[in-house]
Amino acid sequence: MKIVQLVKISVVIIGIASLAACAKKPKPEEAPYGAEQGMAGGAQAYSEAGEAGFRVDANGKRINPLRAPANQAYYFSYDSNAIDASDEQAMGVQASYLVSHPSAKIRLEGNTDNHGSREYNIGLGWRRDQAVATYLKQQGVKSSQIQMLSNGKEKPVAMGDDERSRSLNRRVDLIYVSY
Amino acid sequence: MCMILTAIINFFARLLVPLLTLLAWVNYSYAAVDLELTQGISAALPIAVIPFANENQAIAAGNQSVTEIIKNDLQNSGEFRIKGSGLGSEDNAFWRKQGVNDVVTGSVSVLGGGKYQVSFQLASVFNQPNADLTSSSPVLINQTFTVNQVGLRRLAHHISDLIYEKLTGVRGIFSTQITYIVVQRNNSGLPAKYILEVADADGFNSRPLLASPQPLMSPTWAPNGRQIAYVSFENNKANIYLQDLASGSRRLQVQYPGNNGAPAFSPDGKKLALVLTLSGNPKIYTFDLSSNQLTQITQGYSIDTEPAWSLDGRALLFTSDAGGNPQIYRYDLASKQTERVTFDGDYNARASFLPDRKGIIMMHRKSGAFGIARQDFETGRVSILTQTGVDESPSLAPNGKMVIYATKYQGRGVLAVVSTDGRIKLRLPSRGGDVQEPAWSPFVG
Repeated sequence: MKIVQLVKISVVIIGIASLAACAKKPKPEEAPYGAEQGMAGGAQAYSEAGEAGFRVDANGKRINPLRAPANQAYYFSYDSNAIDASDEQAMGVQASYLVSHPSAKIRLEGNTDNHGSREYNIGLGWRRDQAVATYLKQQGVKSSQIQMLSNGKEKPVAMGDDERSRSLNRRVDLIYVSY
Repeated sequence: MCMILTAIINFFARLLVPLLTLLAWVNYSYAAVDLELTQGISAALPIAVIPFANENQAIAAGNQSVTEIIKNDLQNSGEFRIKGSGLGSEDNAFWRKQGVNDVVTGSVSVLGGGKYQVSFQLASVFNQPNADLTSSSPVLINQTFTVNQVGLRRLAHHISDLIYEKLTGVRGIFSTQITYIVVQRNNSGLPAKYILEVADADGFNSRPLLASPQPLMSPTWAPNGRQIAYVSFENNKANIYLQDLASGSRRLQVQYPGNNGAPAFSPDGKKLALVLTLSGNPKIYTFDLSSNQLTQITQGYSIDTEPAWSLDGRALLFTSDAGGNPQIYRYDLASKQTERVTFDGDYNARASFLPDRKGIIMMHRKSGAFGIARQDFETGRVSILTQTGVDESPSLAPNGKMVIYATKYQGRGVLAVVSTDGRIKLRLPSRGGDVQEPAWSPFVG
């Protein structure tokens, strides 16, 4: 009984501890280097969503690197799951990488602003994941390469009730889980 | 005042060592919630509660006497107006002059060995006629109990329940519990720790069940009051866990690909209604807890979520945007028919049946502001119970008289209570963290 409990709890602790693990470093030979303004030659700074390494624009929104593999953030208008045309280029770069690296996998995490019922917002975040996944699959990415999770409004990155904060939360994060 | 340390130590003593490891790193700045009656009603029943003889020999946890707890319970129900002289019992003529209908008196004796004998009487100040209309004793309740110090608070709530039911005809909720999520923020002001807690219905005796760096949501009670199901995002996955309150042991219960969410126990405790994105879109399913059999309830593209069972287990309410905006629908499990329930307001969600089946309580938006509303089946009319603009997550007390919900106060998430007729309002201020997603337990015992 005790051993079973210890095993059970070890699994839970390992699970929670693994969340603390940060920057997943890619294998060097699989890390293409693209010319990006401001990047030092040979630097390969891959960052988890939310970590330092992303540049942001005047509205606080992350600027998606146009190289792959690189984590991404795609933003949405209020109550909408329509992909912004300005994100399509960045999505396309990731799609090409995923197509040419069939064992690479990503996780899409959909988020919403703080309006509305929590479980319904899980559904809205899911809709945003679906929109990004659909676009990627249209570029040839396989379903098996895409995991989807909706956080609804449970993991905000900005806490204000103002429109600027809300717009930062209406977002899908594209996170590489394997390269 | 909440004896947090005593409560936590008592709780830890019952936990398995493994769960201690999970909780040991949590630093509790969040303390018990306090009730604050913000709006009462004038037509409350006037009642006198006289301090029990010797009751300062038996002070309950929280440094309150038994009658203090009883007075708070009855007052916070909004249905009683407390008159207490503190002078000892007066005669019935005195109380009738004060406009009081009933008087509560009692006494405490110390038995030794850490035990107390508590007796109480509820008496009308008017002579009560017998069935044959002869006058008889006005005593409505006369009971005696033996408890130890730890049981004093629970006994006081039990006495409140007895008084409440005798005088209103409705079962009291003073011995019930609430569960909710506390979110603690880091130095950047962002959520950093999510804690599932349980407390008495008056907010006392709060104790943590689980803490996690990833979101916890949608806690819900099993009908036996001994388990809570909830959604946890640990391991970057939204799965449903079941946790036993007494032992603290938890089980990963539902983990289909995609999101698993919005669990709700069937009234017989044998199934969960829940939401899965398994089919590609968020749909309602039922999940049998012994066979693990999954049954899909709703189909199609829409977002369907927040299932809630009727008391007889024959129907499910749920939220769906099949009509364009979130509205409430009812599904009949026998006929497999679905019909739309709400037409008023542009956003209705998170509904639950009133226990008398006369209507529903829900989250409701009108004119851009979120509130909590009741819809009556007979008239179809929607009554707004409270509308601060950011009200959410309503949960009904098991006697159908009160709704606990989440709202914001002074920039923080707090819990509040409103009566289902809208006349009584209470706020539970919290110290530290945002409180959200309350769920009211079933009746205890």
